[in-house]
Amino acid sequence: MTKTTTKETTHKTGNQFDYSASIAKLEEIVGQLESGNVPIDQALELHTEGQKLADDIAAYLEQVGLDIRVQANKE
Amino acid sequence: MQQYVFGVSEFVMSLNATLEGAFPYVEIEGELANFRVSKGKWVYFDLKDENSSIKCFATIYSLPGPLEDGMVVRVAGTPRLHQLYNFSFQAQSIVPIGEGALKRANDLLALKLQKEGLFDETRKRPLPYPPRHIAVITSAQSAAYADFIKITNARWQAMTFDVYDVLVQGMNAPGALVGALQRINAQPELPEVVVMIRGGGSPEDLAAFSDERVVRALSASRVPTLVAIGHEVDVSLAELAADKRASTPSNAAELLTPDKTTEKRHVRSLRKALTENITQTISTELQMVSVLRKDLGSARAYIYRSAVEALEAKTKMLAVLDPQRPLQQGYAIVRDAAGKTVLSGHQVHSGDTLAIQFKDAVVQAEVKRKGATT
Repeated sequence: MTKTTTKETTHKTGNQFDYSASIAKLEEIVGQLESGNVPIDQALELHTEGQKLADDIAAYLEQVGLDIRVQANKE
Repeated sequence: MQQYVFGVSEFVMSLNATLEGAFPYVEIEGELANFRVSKGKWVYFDLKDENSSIKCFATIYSLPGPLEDGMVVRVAGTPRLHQLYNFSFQAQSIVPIGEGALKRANDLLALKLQKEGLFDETRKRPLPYPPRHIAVITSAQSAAYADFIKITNARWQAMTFDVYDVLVQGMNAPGALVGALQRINAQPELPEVVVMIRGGGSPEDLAAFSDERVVRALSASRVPTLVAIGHEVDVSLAELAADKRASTPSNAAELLTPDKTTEKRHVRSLRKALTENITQTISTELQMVSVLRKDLGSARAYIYRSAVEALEAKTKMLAVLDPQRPLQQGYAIVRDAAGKTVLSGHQVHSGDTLAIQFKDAVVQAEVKRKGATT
């Protein structure tokens, strides 16, 4: 087995991030706010949570390009 | 010189040793005849051409799928003289040759596997999207793999690749593909997807991906599978058995990963929607407060007005009930000596002294006579 590792530490951080779950949660928050049925205090909390998620996702999308690790298995 | 005389078994052993030396591995092409499977395990058939025929023997595990008489096949293995059953060619692998034979073999295998449900839609598992850890079974030197990596890199790089570099065509390809699948499924840390890719080629080149052993190994994979073999028009049985089929290796990369540029745009639009919605929510809340404030003012004015009106009504009522009012109109109030208001002639008797109150004076009067009321 041949392993090529690039920036493993950063990659681990990136690899633990659940992108699809984060996007789904952000979409859910936007949907809740769009419904207009959320009390103002809850809306403000959702907005804060959504902003944090959007920041995390944006940071993830920026850093993944540099965090490639390829494991090549040869017979 | 005396001629050496062999014992029978000794001659068989000697001949086999000679055959092994001369033909340690040989491939023969010919037409199948008298093909039969015994006890679900042993395979017997003749391989023939216009002038010759040889008997062959194989195990069921060396078959690429169902075969039948008349197919042209290529058989790889070793010739051997059996101690009891004479000469036979011991086949290690058998593959159909020629478009007709390949298609017929594919059709037979497809029918068999379809009946077993290996291609059922209900078996298909969703692929994680995007996956973080994938295993790729391919020829690492192929253009198909290069395309796959290039497009994946351009779209989404947050993945770990385990690349299994194997033979993807030829008689040994099925074994290599099955071996890679088994190794992947034996990993302590399983990948999330197995991707099997190969570029285009002739039907013979792609035959390994319609081999029964490969198709069954794919179906048995604990890890969801994505298979892209050849061009869009080439549909291998491996693709039918996979959880998802991609038309080409490039398409496999597209199905497997989102496009980062598109995702960034999506996140931007979600962020914008967040801001717009919270702004709208706050604005709506402020409008509501404004309306409530206005309503509160209206309510206060109403209450005040009502109170004033009630007071005015009571004042009017008081004025109506003022005992001075009838005196002003010329009426008088009669009181007895005790000062009690006389309301009826029955209260009055002759000789009583009464006080008569006019609007401007009180007059003392004595009752002279009491008559009947007219």
